[in-house]
Amino acid sequence: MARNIGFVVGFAALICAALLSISAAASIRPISDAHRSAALELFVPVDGSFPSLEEAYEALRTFQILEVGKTSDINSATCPVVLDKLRSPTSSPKEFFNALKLNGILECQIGSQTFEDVASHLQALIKDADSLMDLYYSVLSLLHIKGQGVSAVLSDAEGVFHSIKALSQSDGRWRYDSNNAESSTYAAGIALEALAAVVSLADSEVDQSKIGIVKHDIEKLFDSIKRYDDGTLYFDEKHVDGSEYKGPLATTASVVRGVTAFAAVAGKLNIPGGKMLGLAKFFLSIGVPGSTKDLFNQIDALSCLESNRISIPLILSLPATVLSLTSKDQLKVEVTTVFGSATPPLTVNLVQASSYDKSTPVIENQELHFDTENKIHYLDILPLKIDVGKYTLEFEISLHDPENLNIYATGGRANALAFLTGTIKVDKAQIGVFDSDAESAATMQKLDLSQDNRISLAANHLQRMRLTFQLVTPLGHNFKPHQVFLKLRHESKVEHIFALESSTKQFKIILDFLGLVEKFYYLSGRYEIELAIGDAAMENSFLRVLGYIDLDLPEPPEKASRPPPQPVDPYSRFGPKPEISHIFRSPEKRPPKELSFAFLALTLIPLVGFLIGLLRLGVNFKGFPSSSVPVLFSILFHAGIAAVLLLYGLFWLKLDLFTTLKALGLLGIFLIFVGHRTLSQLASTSAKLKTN
Amino acid sequence: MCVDASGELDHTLGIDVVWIALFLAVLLGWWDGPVTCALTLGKFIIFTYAATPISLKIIDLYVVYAITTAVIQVVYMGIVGSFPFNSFLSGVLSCVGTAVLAVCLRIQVNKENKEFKDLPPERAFADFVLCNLVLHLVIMNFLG
Repeated sequence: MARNIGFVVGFAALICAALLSISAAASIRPISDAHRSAALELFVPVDGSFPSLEEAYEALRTFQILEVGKTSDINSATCPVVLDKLRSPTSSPKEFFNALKLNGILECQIGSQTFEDVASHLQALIKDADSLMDLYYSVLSLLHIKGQGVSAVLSDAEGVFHSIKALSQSDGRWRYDSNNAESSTYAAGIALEALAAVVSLADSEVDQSKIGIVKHDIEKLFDSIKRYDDGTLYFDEKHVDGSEYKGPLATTASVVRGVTAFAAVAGKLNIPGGKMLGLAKFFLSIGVPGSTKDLFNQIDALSCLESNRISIPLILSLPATVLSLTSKDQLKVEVTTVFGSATPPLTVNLVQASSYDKSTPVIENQELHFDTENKIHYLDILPLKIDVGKYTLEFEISLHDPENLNIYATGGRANALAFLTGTIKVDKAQIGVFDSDAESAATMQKLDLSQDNRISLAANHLQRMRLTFQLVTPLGHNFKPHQVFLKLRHESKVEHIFALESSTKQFKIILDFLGLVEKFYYLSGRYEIELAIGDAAMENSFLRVLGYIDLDLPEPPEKASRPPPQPVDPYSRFGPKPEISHIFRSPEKRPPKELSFAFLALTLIPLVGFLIGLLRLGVNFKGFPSSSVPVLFSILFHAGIAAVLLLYGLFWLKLDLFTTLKALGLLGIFLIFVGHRTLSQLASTSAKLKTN
Repeated sequence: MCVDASGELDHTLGIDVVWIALFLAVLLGWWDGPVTCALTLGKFIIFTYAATPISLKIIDLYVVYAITTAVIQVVYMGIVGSFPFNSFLSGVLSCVGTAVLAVCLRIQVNKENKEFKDLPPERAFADFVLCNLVLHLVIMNFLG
C-alpha cells in the first residue's frame, strides 16, 4: 500500500518538477494580485504606525502603486511624527527627506510656513553639503517641497550639479564622497536621481553639454550591466564585500530610478529597448519577494519602468503552460506592460514551435488571433496536428504603429516552454507463459487495460513469461514514456521491479524464471503483477494490477540469501510492546520444618550429654571463692561472659556489626578487667595452696 | 603406594592410614585376636585414663561434646543439602574451632607437659575464653 502511494507520489513529483522547470524558464508574469495580497501581508503597521518614517514610506508607496490598502490607518499616529521632524531645526537631511517623501502620500495638514522654513534650511544645508548622500537628501527634499506647491528654487544649480558630477567615475559609477575612493553602482543611481532633481529645480536652464556628459556616463554605466542565462539584466557592485553593499535588487532598483528620473528631465537617452526589457524581466522574475524592502524595491522600480521616457517594456507571458489535447485547450498568450496594463495594438506571431528534445520545428509562422474582450492572443492547436510532448515556442511581437517602436520595447523574439498532454492508448497488450524452447508456440492472453479484469497465470522455474503492448498517442504515433515498469510482488511483500525495453513498434519484457530464481530468493507462491506507465505528457498515467502468477520455484540451497526484511509499518512502533515475562530465581528447596526441629533437638542432646558427663565426673563448685570481694569479681566475670554471649545472640537476631563491635568493645574492657582480677586471685590462691 | 615420575614413593593418604592401623595393631596386640584387642582397649580406658586429673577429663568431655555436635550438623547437611552453606560452615566451624581451642587448653594445662611448665593454667584459661569469644563473634557474623 505504501509502495503504491509512493509510486503515485513519485509521478506527481515528476510532473511537478517538469512543470516547475518550465516555469523557471519562462514563468515571467506581470504584477498580479499575488503581489497585492503579499503587500498587504508584509506591510503591517504595529499599533497603527510603522517603526520608522522610511518604512512607512515604503509601505505607503507600495500600496499607492498597487492600489491597495488605506493610508487613513496610520495617518493619526504618523502625521505628528512627520510634523515634528519638519519643525525641528536639528533634523538631518535624511530625516527631512523621509518626512517629506512620506508627506507626499499621507498629505498631512502642514502649513506652508513650515515648508518655507524647511526650504530655507535645506538651501543652507546644500551649500554646506559635501557628501553625495547629503546632497541627494537635501535636493530631493527641496523637490518634494516644490511638489507641495510651495515655491522652492535652487539658487546655485550649476554649482550643485558640478559638485555631484565631480564625484563620478569614468566607468559610469559614482563615489559617495571625495574622501572615499570606492565607487558604487548604487551611488550612481542616487546621483542620477539627484542630478535630475537639480535640473528640475534650477531657475535657469542647465547647460546642455553638461547633461550630455551625464548621458554619456549613463551609457557607460549600462555597459557594466550583468546578465543571467534566462535573458534578465541587472546591475551589481564590482566588489560585493564593500561596506555599503546592498545586493543586486536594491542596486538595480536605484539605477532604474535614477535613469528614468534623468530621462524624464533630459530627454531621449541612447539606451536600447532590449536593455530596459531585460531589467523589467529581472524584477518580474523575482516573483513575489518575501521581505518588505525587496517588495518595495521591486514595485517602485517597476512603476518607474511602467511609464518611463526611454522605452516601456512589454512582457509576453503564457497564462497556462500545460495544454491538454483531450480538453481541446487553446494556446493563449498575453502581452502587457509590467503591471498588466493595456498595450498599443500589436500582433503576436508564433515563429516556431520545436520539440524540446530534438529541436526540430513542428509548426512555423502561425499568427495568433486577438480576443479583444479578454485582451488575449490565442491559437487553436488542434488543427495543427501537434502530438503530445514538451515544446519550445518562439514568439515575435510586431507593433502595428511603427512610431510606437520608439516608445515601447518588445525585445524581438521571446521564448516559452509548453507541455502538450493527451490520453495515451495502450494497444495490443498480450501476456502469456511459455516453455523456454517454445516461444513461437506460446499461447498469449489478450489484456484489456481499460477494464479491470485480472488474469491468472501459473509457471514453474523452467518457463518464461512475456508481456507486450503498444503505446499510441492521440495522433496515432508511437509513444515512449518516461516510466514503464513491471512489478512482481510476493505474498510476503517482497517486491521485484523490472524496466521494459522498447523497440520502434512495441514494449516487451520476457521474464526468464530460470535466471531469476536466485533473485526471487527461491520464494514460491503467488506473485501479484503490476504495470506502471507514466509520463509528464500522459494524462492517464497508471499503476494497475494486471493479475497474479503462481510461481513454482525449486527449494533454496543451504547458502541461498534470505529475502530482505520487509519494512515494518512505521506506526507499529507506537503500539504496545510484547509482554516480558520475568523469570525469577526459583527459591531453594528447604527441608520440612519438622525435620529441622528434630535436628535442632538432636543438636542439643550432646549438650545434655555433656552436662550429665560433668555430673558423673563429680564436678563441684568448691573452687569458687567464698570471701566477698573475689566472689563479686567471679560473679561479674561469669556475668560478663554471659553478657557477651547474649550480645552475640542479639547480634544474630537484630543488631548490625558496628553496634555489636561497639558494645563488645565496652563489654570486653569490662571483662578483661574483671577477668584479670578473678584469675589472678585464683592463681594466687592456688599458688598459696601449692606452697602450703 | 605409587611410584610417580621422579621415581620417589608417592606420599598418599593411604600410607598414613596403614601406619596408624599398624601402630594400633601393635599397641592393642591385634594378632592376639579381637577379644584381646577389645580387652586391651577396655583396660586402657579403665586404668590409664582414670588416672588423669578431673580438669583434663572435663576438657576431654567438652571436646567430645563439640565434635559430636559437629557430626550431627554434618549429618543434617547430608540429608537436606548444603543451602545455606554459610550457616552450615558457621555451625560446623564453631564446633570444630571450640574443640581445637579446648585441645590447646588441655595441652597448656596438662602438668605432665614440660613445654608449658611455667604457664599458669589461669592464663591458659583466659586465653581460651578470649579466643572462644573472638571465634564466636566471627561465627555469629558468618551465620547470616
